[in-house]
Amino acid sequence: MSYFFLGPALVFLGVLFLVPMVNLLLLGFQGFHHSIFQDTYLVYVIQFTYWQAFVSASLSVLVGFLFAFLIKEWNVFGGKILWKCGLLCSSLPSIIVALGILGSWGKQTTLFGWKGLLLGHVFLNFAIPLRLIGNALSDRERTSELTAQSLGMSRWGVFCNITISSIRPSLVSSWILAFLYSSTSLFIVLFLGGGPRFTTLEVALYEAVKLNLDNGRAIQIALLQAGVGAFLFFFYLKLQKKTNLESDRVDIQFFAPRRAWMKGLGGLCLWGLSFMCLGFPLVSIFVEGLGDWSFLDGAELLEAGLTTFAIATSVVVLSISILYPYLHYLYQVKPQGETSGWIWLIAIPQFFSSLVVALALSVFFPLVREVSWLSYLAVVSTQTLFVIPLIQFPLREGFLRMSKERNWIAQSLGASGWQRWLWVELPFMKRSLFLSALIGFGFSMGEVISILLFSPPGIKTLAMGIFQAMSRYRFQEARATTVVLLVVMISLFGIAGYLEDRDESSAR
Amino acid sequence: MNQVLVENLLVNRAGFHLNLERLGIESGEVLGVMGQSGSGKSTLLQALAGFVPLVSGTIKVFGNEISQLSPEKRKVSLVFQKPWLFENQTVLENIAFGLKLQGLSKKEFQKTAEEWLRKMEIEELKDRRAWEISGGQAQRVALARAMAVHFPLLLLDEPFSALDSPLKKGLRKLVKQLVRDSGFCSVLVSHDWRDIEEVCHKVLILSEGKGLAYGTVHEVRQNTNPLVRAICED
Amino acid sequence: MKPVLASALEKCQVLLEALQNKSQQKHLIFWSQLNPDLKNWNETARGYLKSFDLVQKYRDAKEGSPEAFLYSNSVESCVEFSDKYSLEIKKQEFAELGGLIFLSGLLFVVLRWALRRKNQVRFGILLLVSLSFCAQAKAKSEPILRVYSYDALTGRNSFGEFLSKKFFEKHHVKVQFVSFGTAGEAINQVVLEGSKTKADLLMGLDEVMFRKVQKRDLFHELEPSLSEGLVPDLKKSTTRTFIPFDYGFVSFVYDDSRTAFPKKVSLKTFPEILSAQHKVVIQDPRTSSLGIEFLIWTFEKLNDGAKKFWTALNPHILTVSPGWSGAYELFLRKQADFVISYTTSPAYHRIKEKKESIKPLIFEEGHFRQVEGISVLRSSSQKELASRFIQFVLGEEAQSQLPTYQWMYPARKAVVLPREFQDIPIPKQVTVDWDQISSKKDQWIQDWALMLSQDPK
Repeated sequence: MSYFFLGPALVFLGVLFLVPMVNLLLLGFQGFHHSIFQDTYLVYVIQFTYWQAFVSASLSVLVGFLFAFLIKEWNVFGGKILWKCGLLCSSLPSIIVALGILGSWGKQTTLFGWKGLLLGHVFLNFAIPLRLIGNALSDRERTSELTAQSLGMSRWGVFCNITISSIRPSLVSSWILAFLYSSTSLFIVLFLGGGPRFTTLEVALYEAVKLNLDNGRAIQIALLQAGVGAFLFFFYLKLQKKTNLESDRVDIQFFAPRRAWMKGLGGLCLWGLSFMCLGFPLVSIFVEGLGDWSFLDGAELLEAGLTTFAIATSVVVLSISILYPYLHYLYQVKPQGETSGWIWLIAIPQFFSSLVVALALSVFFPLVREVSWLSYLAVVSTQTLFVIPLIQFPLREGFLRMSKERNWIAQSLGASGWQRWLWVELPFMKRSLFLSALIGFGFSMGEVISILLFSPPGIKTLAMGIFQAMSRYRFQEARATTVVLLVVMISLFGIAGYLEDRDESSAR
Repeated sequence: MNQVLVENLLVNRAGFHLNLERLGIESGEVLGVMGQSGSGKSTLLQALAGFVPLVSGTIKVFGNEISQLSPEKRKVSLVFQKPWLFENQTVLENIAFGLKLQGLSKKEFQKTAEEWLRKMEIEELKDRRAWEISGGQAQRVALARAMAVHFPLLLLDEPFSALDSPLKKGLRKLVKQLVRDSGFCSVLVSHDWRDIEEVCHKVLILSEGKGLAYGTVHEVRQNTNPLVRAICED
Repeated sequence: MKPVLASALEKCQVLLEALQNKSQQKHLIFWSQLNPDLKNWNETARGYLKSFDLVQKYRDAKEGSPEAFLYSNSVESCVEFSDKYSLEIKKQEFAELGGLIFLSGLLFVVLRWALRRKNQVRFGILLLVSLSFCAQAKAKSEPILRVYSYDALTGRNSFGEFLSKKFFEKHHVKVQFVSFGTAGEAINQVVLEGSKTKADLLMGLDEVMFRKVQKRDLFHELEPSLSEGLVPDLKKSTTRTFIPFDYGFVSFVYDDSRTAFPKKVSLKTFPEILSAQHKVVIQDPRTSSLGIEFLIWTFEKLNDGAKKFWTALNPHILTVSPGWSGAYELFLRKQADFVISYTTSPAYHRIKEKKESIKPLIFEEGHFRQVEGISVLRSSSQKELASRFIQFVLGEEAQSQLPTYQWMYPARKAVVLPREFQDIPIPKQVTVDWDQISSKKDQWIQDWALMLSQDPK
């Protein structure tokens, strides 16, 4: 019985991720020779990759912490909006972020290089520490802080000695994730880097795969990347096992400012920073994108839109079809026991860059780049591998809220397995399914790498159109297309955010 | 004559053993089950409903051996502490859920469901959804849903504990009357002796998976075992 | 005229008219997809059209003469073909009528079913699926000549668009240009697709890219006569698999209204003359043919001085663009003062913008000549058509328009250039030993990447 539910996900993950990745790593080890490190330029690229990731992650955590602190502890004006904007920022395709930054700050100053990289990475990644640290700050145990203060410790002392250690796991996890995403980012480096001095392993991998057809070199680079990804995955996993102290439900904003003007100033700084780093790039896209649409070909745009829609729909359907029975078994059917291992299994792909995964797939299944329908399948499958870890959250929430008692009642009244699923479980899970579909759709719409690597020439999605326009520095055309994509994505995430709030309030 | 007969029941659940020699319930009778936390009360109900497999023993309901049947075939209905109504359905549809599965026509199951609405005195809630009614009303709907199908065995797992006193009183009386009138057998698990006193005919006191006392309400109340007395205390 | 001949001529006349009638053509093409006997009908029909010219000559030939004997076969074939064609058309018309009646009946039944409320959603899904199949079928039914090329050659108001339009007018064949960021990407796609590639031609490849893939045996050998009308200088660049269609000289381009600079400089000392504020955009030699050619030019011409050149240029490099389009865009947006392009790029500004201030830098040492060519893929099933396309590209009409589309020199000799081109000096050409370059190129790229990875400060 378990095979029926777990089978599709395990087979999918096994055939399309684990086996190709293992094959890639084996090929990498076989062909590996220490002389690769005699390639001075590659050594430079490795150093630069992880140095810029270190700086980007540190800056992202700093900014994210600042936002989280001011929103959760100081309760600044409009904090809820900023919280949701953070989610939007991290969900935007990196290509749109690069376009926004180039179109806004790029006009004021020379951004190519460190400035562009850091701005782009912070934009995309600050929401991770914002969410993780913000939730840790909300849920932390405050009694010990109050006790320490009552014993004479200053607030700063409490912060350094008690608060930091209680939120340390979230600080470290968010740093790890931000480091991972910064080290594997492609489009930010491609468009805002500007040449060999600012090339990362991901860009070198892209060049090897797409431009030079040098699979040997690509595999070597992928091996390095995969090694780092695997190390970070295990480290992150270990971090999750540490138990946090239970929240004591003491709802006091311990670090709230003592003067009202300080709170106002804090809010102003936060909004100012948000606008400069986040709002300005996005606003510039809309203002300039809406200005001139003559660059756009209506028929091409429609075709790209339909292709985007078709691929996104396929990805969502496939992801949910695979993940739903998997989670259904773990939360509804399986006898009580540990499920976290099974959950982490499906989340593994997100610790590797999509380019590495796509390369592994194309090396293991060479026909995918030759035969049209296989190429489509490869595009959909690659995206599905990355959508599954994303949509597991709303689905898991739904399953956790669904009680076994309700199921038992239906069963006791004579409902068979299918009848219970259709009449009891599915209606209950409707909202979670819809939320998952929205998230999956949003992700797929902005995904470019799988299209770049696998899709037959002439097939274009909206995101691909933006990439092509940007590669040719046709910014007006890119902006106009981005406006279309952004409107759809913001609407999707707006609905998703609304549903999330409704879920939270109904859970309460 | 016992219409529900449990003999030599042995259940093993994650290292916990539930062992009962003999249990009998007559038609129209309610058997109360009490005990401390972890004594096996819920395990007993789950075993009767089929959600926990038996190691050995038999369960006969109106002469039919049901211990090897799957839960959907046992004709045992359930009510829990929380109503667990089906959210996407109206009150009427909730009550009619089991009736539909019996193969009744639309007209028939609607008529039966409406009848039960009247018995539960909640006719005005017919078209409401689960989130539009109060806790007490929802529990009535849950009871109606379980009883409308007229299964020979009705299991109640602390159905009144989430309700306030006036509601409890009304519901206890209603349950006793309905069980008696319909003629099915019922098992009521509760921590509250008043539930047992007002609703049940017989009581089983469980402790560490074994029966500590069994008899009529009066007999068990008179039991001198200090543990039994402690459990039966208000 | 002999009666037999008269009726033969009449039939051939019918055939000719039918084949020139667009709706008849589509008819023919659609049904030929289903009937294997008619698969090469289109090609066969065109062959017979040629024969028809011969039939006209036969009419004028004396009976019993050698010419009459020679052409009589053509007449017989033409008659046979037109009889078969007429019969097929009749069969097709019957089949279409029958199909139409059947489909109408089916539609009636489906609509009745769909109007029942429950089935509306199912009907909607069915309709969507059917429409997508129809679209696919329609797309497949027309013959298309596919050309893989870089983006500046495709798209709106491009040379590719001009070629597609004119070729269709003349030959009634659709030419689809599939766009890639660079010529390198186009060729990579062909390599990846292998024998299953849908491309018939590769256009816009330069010599560097071509030599990179020459050994892979991707290209079909064309008739030598195709390259007969080309500029004599291009003979060295021409092979049976690579036919040049335009060429240009690589150089830096600048705007003298905002950047004062001597018109003629030495390549060696160019970076040293740049002031601290001057910004340069270059193309990535790993992705752009212009980029690799500029790199080759510096290493070939400057030898050991190349490293000094690049080290000195590094601080001035604004960014390294993947292709020409991106780099030029940055130059136009005034974010860079110099961009690697062609000596003929200023002609665009003179003609389109009436702007005279954009100028090429002429180097004393000479300039690298980039030759762009067109090749037919060995895997193409439309080689004859592809050859005809090349003929058209190299023809007078296309080549005379080329300068104002591509802003390069046409490969055909004796094409009159616009005045704005004539004003641009033709620089001294740097000659290269391609065999030597092939072996050194990769090392040069490595050295370049390493040099540019150093912090310029």
